[in-house]
Amino acid sequence: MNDAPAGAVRTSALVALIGNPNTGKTTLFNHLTGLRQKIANYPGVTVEKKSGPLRRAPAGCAVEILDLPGAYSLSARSLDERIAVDVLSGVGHRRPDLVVCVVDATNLRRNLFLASQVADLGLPLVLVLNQVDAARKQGLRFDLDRLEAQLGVPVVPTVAKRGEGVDALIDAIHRALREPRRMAPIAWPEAVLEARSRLRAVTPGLTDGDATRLLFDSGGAVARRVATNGGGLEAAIREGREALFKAGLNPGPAEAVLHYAHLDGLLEATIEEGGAMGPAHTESIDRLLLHRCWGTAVFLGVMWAVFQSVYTWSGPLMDGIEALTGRAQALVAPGLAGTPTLQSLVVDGILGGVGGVVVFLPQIFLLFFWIGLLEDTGYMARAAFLMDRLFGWCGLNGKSFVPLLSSYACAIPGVMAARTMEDPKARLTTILMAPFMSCSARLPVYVLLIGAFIEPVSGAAVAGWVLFAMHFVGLAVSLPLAWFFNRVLLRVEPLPFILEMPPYRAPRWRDLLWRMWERGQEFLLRAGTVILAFSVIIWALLYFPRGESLAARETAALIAETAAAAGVAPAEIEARLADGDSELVAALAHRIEGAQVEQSYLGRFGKTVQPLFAPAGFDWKITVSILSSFPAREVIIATLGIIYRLGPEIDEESGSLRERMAAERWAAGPRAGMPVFTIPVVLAIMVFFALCLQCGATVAVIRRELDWRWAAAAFAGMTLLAWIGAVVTYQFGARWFA
Amino acid sequence: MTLNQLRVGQAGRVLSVAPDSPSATLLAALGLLPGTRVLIERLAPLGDPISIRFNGQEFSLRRQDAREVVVQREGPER
Repeated sequence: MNDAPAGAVRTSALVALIGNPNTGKTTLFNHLTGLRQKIANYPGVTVEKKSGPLRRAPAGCAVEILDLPGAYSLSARSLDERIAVDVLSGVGHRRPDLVVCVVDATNLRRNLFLASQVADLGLPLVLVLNQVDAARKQGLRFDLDRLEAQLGVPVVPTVAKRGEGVDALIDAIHRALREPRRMAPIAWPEAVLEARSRLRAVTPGLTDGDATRLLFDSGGAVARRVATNGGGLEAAIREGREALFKAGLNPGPAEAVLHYAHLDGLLEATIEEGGAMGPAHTESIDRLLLHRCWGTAVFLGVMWAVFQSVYTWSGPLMDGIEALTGRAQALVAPGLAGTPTLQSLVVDGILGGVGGVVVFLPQIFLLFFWIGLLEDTGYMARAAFLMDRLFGWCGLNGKSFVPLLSSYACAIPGVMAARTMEDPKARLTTILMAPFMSCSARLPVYVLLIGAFIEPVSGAAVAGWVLFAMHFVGLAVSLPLAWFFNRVLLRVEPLPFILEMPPYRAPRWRDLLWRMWERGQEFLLRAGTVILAFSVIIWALLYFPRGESLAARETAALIAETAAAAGVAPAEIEARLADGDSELVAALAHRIEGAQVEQSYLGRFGKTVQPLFAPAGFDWKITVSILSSFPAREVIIATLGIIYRLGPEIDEESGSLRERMAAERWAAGPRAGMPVFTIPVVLAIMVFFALCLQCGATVAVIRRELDWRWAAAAFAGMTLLAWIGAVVTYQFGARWFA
Repeated sequence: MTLNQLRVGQAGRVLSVAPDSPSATLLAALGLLPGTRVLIERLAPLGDPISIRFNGQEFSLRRQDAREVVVQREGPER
């Protein structure tokens, strides 16, 4: 093995922290490392890798603590568990010098199963008996000396949430790095030993521990790592499992049966059970919270609060950030007045982009506060239990509910919230579905179009129903799509959805706030930079090329038009403009701005691709507005304002914009003189917005959570789907309303 | 009979689990081994998943996962 010989001086050491979910492992990790943690990804996968230096390392030796994903065993096939096995075997990573296994004292036997599997890989161990206070309350008494003697490894009792026992644990880590100790080895029956040596014979370089894993989990991490293309290994695995069967061991549960028998021997006379049995309060809370009616009612109430906080309560904070962005822009702008291009880049491109990133922070903080609270208290598992049936049929699971619900406020925290899901396929599906949920940025578009075109014709009641229905277009399209891909096309075998219903606990506030902070920080650093880049690119496409003669042409046109309308001499208007008549100056600025957008790269592109959108009834102005809203869908309102020469400072309630749009007529073509915005066109635009991934920030976050290929595929797929939806809506609508 | 056929409030003792099923292997790792007594605690509002209790711990699992565990029905605990 790889331990340093006795007395040799280590200069660095890697300590892996492992344990079942809900054991307080992360709290302990925070205590061991302080706040100097690094978050990265394991190579090639999006499982989070957290590590940090040990707070009080031995002299002359840097100790790195690596927090492995929570796992019940090394045998299951989830991504998290596969990574744990790879790290413990030293694959793609330095092999740990020591493993600290955190076990829940209230459920020692089950927790030790993982420790026993880790020990079988040949790694030295320190055992942390966490939550000893809760165990004592349940009447459990541990004979720690006897436990340590029988297991053969140091046992450190802790109460992680209060930091009790952390110093003793650090001392134990120091000692164990000097004198590593291994857990009492399991005595494998002859059939296992034989099968193992046969596996090692056909696979050079396989350790005993890896051979065990290979034998018991045919689809596990080691099987993936060791190329099984040679028939020899596969045959050896099959023969080994058959030999187990003949020896009276069912190879499915055999590993568990043998480990538990081994543990029962080691645990003999180490635990004394007092009178109190189990956390009784959990059962009575569950009688209410998992009740058919009351449980569902409480669930809906909790989800309402989560949704409200992300949707409404974050509003003032977001407004504040937007106001600050505006103030910063106003502060910087005059200083750069001498260089208009730089001024526009800094003010609109960079400051606007930074503001557009930071504005998501309140929602991310609030949502992750709730998620932390729901997970820490143990309610998240209950929520998943209540909701699983609604989502299971299409490849999602009960844990999809919170990410999808919060996507109704904003897909960005929603996509990030999918991290709570262990099943990678279900997580992927949830992430790809999140942008279909009707986020709050779609609302202004709906309000503008419904208010301007549907309400005046059909009345407030119909308008309300249309607005309501628009919120379900994305869901109605994406659920069958998810079902089709998962169950029909790919025929994905659902992973077992087995979820522990942990006892209810009070949240650990410090950890909770820390995790919330981490999420926000990560969003800023990882996704924020990409979002900023998008913002600058779109700025450039709208800013360049500069039309040199625009100002002169628009001034002349404005003077001529205004003079003709008012019946006065052009010279008079010219003089008023020169005097600084505020109305005329603003009108001129809006005209120049509109003309600039029209002949910018994006404007030219929009005019070029307009024929593509003609089947949806869009003219070039709608096309350019839609293209300009790809970085952020709410931008369409400002773009419409600019294109209709009203200036960008309008909103969806703006009467002038509604009037201007209603008055818009086709200039040429078969429909010349007819209104552009008919009901079918309006519906087609809304369907387009409902289905399209017009949000650079979401694309950046999907890239961050999955990879750029998925982000590109999601973007392309949703754009295509939106186009199809808009064309179908318009074509049907045009016949219906004809 | 299999675990998914027990009703709410009924208990069973595990006889065997399917050899090549990921859900049965995971349940075994959690301690649901042949000989373990298991109780059906409750059903989700829509009838699936179910929640089971064994060795003093509670787990939620889908009916299709519960089908992988063969049990013998037992009377209520005294």
